[in-house]
Formats: sequence, C-alpha cells, structure tokens
Amino acid sequence: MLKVRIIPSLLIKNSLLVKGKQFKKDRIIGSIISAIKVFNSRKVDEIIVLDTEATNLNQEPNYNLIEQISNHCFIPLTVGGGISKIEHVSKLLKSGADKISINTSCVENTNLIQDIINKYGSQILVSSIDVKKINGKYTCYTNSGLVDTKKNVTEVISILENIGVGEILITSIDRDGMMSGYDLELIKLVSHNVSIPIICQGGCGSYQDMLDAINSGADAIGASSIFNFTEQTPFQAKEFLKNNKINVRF
Amino acid sequence: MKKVIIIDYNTGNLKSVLRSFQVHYKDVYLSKNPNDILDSTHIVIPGVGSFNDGMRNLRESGFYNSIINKCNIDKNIKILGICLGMQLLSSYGIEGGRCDGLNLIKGNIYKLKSSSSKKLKIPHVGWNDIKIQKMHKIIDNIKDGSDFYFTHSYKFITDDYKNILATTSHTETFNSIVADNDIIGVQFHPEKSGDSGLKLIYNFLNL
Repeated sequence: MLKVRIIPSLLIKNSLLVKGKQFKKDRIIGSIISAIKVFNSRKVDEIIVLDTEATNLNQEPNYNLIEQISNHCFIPLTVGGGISKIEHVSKLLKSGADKISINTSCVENTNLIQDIINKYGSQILVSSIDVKKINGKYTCYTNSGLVDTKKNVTEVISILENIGVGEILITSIDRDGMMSGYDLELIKLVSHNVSIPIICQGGCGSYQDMLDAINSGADAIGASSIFNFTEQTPFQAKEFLKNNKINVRF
Repeated sequence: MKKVIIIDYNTGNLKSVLRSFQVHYKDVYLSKNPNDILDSTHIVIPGVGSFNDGMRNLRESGFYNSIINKCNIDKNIKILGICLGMQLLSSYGIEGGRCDGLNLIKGNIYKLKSSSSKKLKIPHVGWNDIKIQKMHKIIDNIKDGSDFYFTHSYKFITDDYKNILATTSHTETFNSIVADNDIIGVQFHPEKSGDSGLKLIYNFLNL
C-alpha cells in the first residue's frame, strides 16, 4: 500500500536555511547542507527546497547550491523558486533535482506549465499554491505571498489538474510558521476538488496536526517549523501515525 | 572490465541516477553517443515522460538501433530500465496511439486503472512496497515488502508471468520489477529509494 509521506519543507534565502511566520520575519536557522544531511539520514520520504526570494529578485535558481544539496540526497528532491523558463527546469534537473515546484507561473503563465509537462511529463511538476483566507474565501497569492491574484483556489487548481500537473503543494499563508495546526477546511476543499496527490503545508505544530491533515484528505505532510524549532522528529511522527493506523515507511 | 553507460536521450533526473550509481562504482558515464553502447557491459535506460516521446527520442538519438544491435551480438549484456525506461523495454505502448517499444521483454503498456476511492489516486506517487514473486540476483538482500519510490500512471503487463519478479498494489496490482534474464525493468526509481534502491543498483552492477 502507498504510504503517507513526511516531507520537510526547507526554505532558503541567500543560500541559508530560514523560516518565518506567515511568509514574513524570516529567521536564519543555519546551513541548508547540514539540514539536508540530517533529514536524509532520518528516513524522511522526500525533501522540498524552496528559494523564497529568487523570483522577487528576478534571479534564477542557485544551481550550484542545488547540486551540493543533491549530493547528500538519495530520496526525491523537489526544488522551487526562481523558475520562469523551461531552461531553468533543464538546468535544475542537471543539477540533481528530481521534481520542480512552481508557484508564480502556475497562476500567471500556464503556457510554461504546459511546456514543462510536454517535455518532462506530469510527474516532474509540483504546483505550489499559496493561499490566504479573505472574507471566508481562499485566494491564491504569488511572489512569495506578495501578490494577490484575486483568483479562487478551486478555480486555479482545477485548471492545473486539467493541464496535467503531477501534484499540488497547498500552503496556507495564514497558518505558515504559527504551529497551531493545518487549515483543515482548506485541505478538505482542495482534496474534494482534485484527484491528484496533495501535499499540505502551513501550521504543523504536532503529530496530531499531521494526523488531522491526513484524515482531511492530505496525501503527504509538508512541515517546516516543527522540525526546525522543536524536538519533534520525522521518525517519531511516523511512529505516532503508525499507531493511529496510517501507513508510513520505516 | 565493467563499462556502465547511462543513456542520456533528453530526459528527466539524469544527475540523480548518475550519482546513485557512482556510490558503488566510479566508472559510470552519462552518454549521448550511441557508439558508446558497443563495448559496454551494463546499460541503464532512465526516463520520465510519455512512451511515444521516449521512443522517438531513442530512435532519433540513434540509441534504439545501437541497443538492438548490442542485444543481438552480446547475449551477456545487462540492461536496467527505470520507470519509463522499464516501459520502453516492452513490445508496445498504447498511450497516444500504438507505438512500438524495444521489445526486449514481451508485453505491453496500459494505463493504471482508476479507483472509485478518493484515497487511491493516479498518478501513483510515493513510497510503496514490493511483493517478491520470483528470485533473481537483482533483488538479492532486498526484503520482501521493502518500500520504493514510485511516480507513474502506466503499468507493464508481461506476456509471460515468468518475467514477473515483483508486484505492487495500488488501484490494482501491477508489476514493479520485470526481467528476462539480465534485461531488467523497475517501475520505481531506485536512485531515489534510499537504502533499498541503492542495494538494487549495487546488485545490478554485480550481475
């Protein structure tokens, strides 16, 4: 049986590992390479690395850094941030990325999404959707939360599913870094509207939060602060989930 | 002397594949040159994307002819097809119209069945376990029930059940490892399957 994946989501800024709250106030945590080495040895199921400032600074992905990261990573590595051309995807794959996460272009430039899928297949593409709840409605944001697209989340994800993206990474900006639990209503809404795998992130503060997200329809658990700032570990998370009858990999 | 070639025919995560082989053996090369096949002992066919595109790239790059020639001349050649590379070993695929494959392991490619359950999704993405059906050196020291990383929407149905080494269950049970002697196909990504994947790669290099 397919296992629920536990995926540390690692944010980088200027080659350093950072984490903030609600996409703001980033704190520097330390070296990304050290973090990757630790997670690769701790039986996490996948790693997501997102550069939070590349797109806004009009920079390409940092290929050298991705190459260094991938040297220590024998599990799937998803890389995002700064991808605006198909050449960037090709260079990232040559640097050791396995999957590509795209946020801004998923909403603004679906031609790029289509081109990537045509060239590399659906499985290469993780569509990252950043969402804020405004007046009870879930609206998509781009450019690391700076730009309000005014587009509804269900509308955007339906378009992406039809184009053929492989997975959806859904992030609640409101819950990001708050460690107060995932936005379960958002996870339910997305999982009812698409039939492709969903990775959820934003708000995880405990193993129970992970269980709640899975029971709300998440196929994979993305988490950051819980692993960066607390003693809780991916391995213990899996033990907790297993005790609650969730299939995980050991 | 071992010569290991990973075929570079304009497809996915080649760097990851190369690095995982180099954990065990330094003389592994990515190659865009079909002539490199001639004196190779081990050929790796990686690949992501669609069957038809994969076959077109194999043909246009010249690798199709060189692999077929090599298999005719050298009965000891070891081949590992990964994900789409596994499917290209088959007789033909039907995605986007019938398209002939390498026909090195008799069988065809079909889409995985969809499920009424919301929990069982296509594409099949993530870690899933294999059930070993038949012993083979490629799965030496790999426990029944080991998890591997999958990401695919299609399955390989072999003409002969003797070619099935392992199966995996999702919306239906499909073949996760197939082989005809030392021509082997794996539906998962050994290069991204942690220790179990690295063991399988080690076994391939030692065939």
